[in-house]
Amino acid sequence: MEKVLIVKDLRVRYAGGGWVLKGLDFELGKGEVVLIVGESGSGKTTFVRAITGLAGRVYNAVVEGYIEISGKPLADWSWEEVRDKMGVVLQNPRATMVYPIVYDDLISHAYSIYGSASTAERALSNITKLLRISHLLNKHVDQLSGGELRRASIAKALLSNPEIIILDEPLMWLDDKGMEEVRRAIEILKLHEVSVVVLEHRYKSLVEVADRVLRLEGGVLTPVETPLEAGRVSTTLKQASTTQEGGDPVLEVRNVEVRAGELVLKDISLRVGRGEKVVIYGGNGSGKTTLLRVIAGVIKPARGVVKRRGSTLYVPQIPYLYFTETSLGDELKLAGLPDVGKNLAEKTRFDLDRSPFTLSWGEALEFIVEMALESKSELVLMDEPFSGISYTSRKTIGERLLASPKAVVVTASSRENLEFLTGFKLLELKEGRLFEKGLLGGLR
Amino acid sequence: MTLASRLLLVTSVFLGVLIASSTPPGPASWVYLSAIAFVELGVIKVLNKPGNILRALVFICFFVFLSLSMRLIGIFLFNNPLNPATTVYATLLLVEAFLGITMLLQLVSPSELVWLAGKVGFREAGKVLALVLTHLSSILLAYSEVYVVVKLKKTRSILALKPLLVYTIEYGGQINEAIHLYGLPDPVLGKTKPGGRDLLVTSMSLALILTGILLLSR
Repeated sequence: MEKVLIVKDLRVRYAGGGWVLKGLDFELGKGEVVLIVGESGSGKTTFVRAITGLAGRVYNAVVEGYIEISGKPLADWSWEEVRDKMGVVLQNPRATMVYPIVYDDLISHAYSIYGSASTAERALSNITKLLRISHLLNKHVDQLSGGELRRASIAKALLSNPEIIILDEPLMWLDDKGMEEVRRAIEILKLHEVSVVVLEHRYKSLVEVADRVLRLEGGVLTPVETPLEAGRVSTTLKQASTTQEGGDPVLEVRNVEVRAGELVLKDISLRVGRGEKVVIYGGNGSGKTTLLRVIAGVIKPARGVVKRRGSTLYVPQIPYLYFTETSLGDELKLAGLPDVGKNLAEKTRFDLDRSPFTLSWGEALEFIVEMALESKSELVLMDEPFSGISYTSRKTIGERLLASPKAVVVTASSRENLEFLTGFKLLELKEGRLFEKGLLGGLR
Repeated sequence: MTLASRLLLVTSVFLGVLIASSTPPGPASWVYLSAIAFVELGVIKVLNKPGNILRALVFICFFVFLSLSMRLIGIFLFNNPLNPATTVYATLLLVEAFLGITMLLQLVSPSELVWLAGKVGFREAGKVLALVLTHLSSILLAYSEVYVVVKLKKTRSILALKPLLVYTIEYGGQINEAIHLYGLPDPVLGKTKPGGRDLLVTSMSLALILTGILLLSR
């Protein structure tokens, strides 16, 4: 098979840091789809930055080793040529949008490549037909769902007709529908013999599409010998055999109605007892975050009553947004846990003098969960806690939450995540209403 | 509708506000003020739902109320003579100027704004403005998350500057990376053929300007 990308003995380190990639070897054949899995912080994004030349150009990182694209060393290509050969879909696809209307953004990029309005229009037309996104062209970026935004971003990456497409965590924050849309887009690319590298720790739905699966660990890539668990997410829920006993209520929501722009939540009622665990499941844009904010008392409902007994702790989707203090120790003090600090430091691996903003995504979430469960708060609200972390971390966090004596309400947009919340009471938020679905016993 | 018609409409409103501001309040100027408001609210109604118009007006009125309060405090403290008719007239003019800006942002897309900025020699500044308009809502969403956290944490750092600063820098880094990969291209404007709506809007805009000139010449 003709090789479109060859990487030999790649070593990368950022200024003042150790080697993130430590002699990595990689080859990508024409039309091949390679899935690279790895824990959060294993160096997946650094790998993308290195092979695209961004590591040196933007991050001033030290890059050693040999990179060859389409038979020529990376250094022999101009920056513009590299951009045309390799399309990159970033972790945050929204960051690639210059103009807020999808058409404006894509056509201006196409024009900058081809220099002719008619050719740009033709290229855009072909790509939008290929990815079936013509209906998205007149939409504002704020109107796109996660999956639609990701597909628009793939279209932008494809406009230069690249040989290679790199997708950095394309399933981040996507609900079941969005995941399926991205998976289908990768299948279309494969059908048209575009070489694809997907870096994702949420790999289950992508294993079947990939020709090869590699694991990035310890700064090197190794083939995954044992087959990874694959499969699309099930739509049937298995009932748990045990029942959950809720104590005195710490939260009571009665007949709440909320109007926030286009979103309307109607007749929402919910009771959470001391120690009870609840998961609110719903697609992107179904109103889960709004409901959590109503529970937190930040949004006042147009109708109905919200009663909270005891203090509440809220963990946003992006864990870094939780931190307001300069050290982990100060965060603990603020949570009323000055004495717990030592135990927590022993139990976890956190240096309490460390700034919270130097933690990796997974570490930040782990710290917040441990702190929340030790805190005096009676009720812990977590908005999509499983975004951006590996299956192993999801399992650990799910188990920790279940074992805790606190009342916990979490949201989830993917059924895949419900698997890690066994024992939680499942509520589905659909078309503005909340439906009780029983206790979670995993998926079948 | 063509860009030229839309720009003429916005220009006529701003010219109208300018003309009205140089005219003392009298029966004719009150009528002219109403005509401007009629055009503005009519256009905004076509582009939006009634609820959005109401919210926009409440938002504008909040600031107008603030400025009025400050003026009243000034009068109370410094014994400044106040003409109620002039104050109300000036306040309404201010509201109409804000509505004009709202109209401009709704009628002219960011890529058209960049194109216009380019025509007066501010292309790069225009592109930065387009980037800000594209990403502002995303950053504001993160800020609202921090607001929830801070409210529940009862932290002393009321403004929670640290997470906001770190997030904004991080987000800026992502945009920087994207610009390296995709560049900051010039906008490409599609060509629109003039139609019936253009005729209507052009007539309305010219009528507004001419009425203003007639008012001023009295």
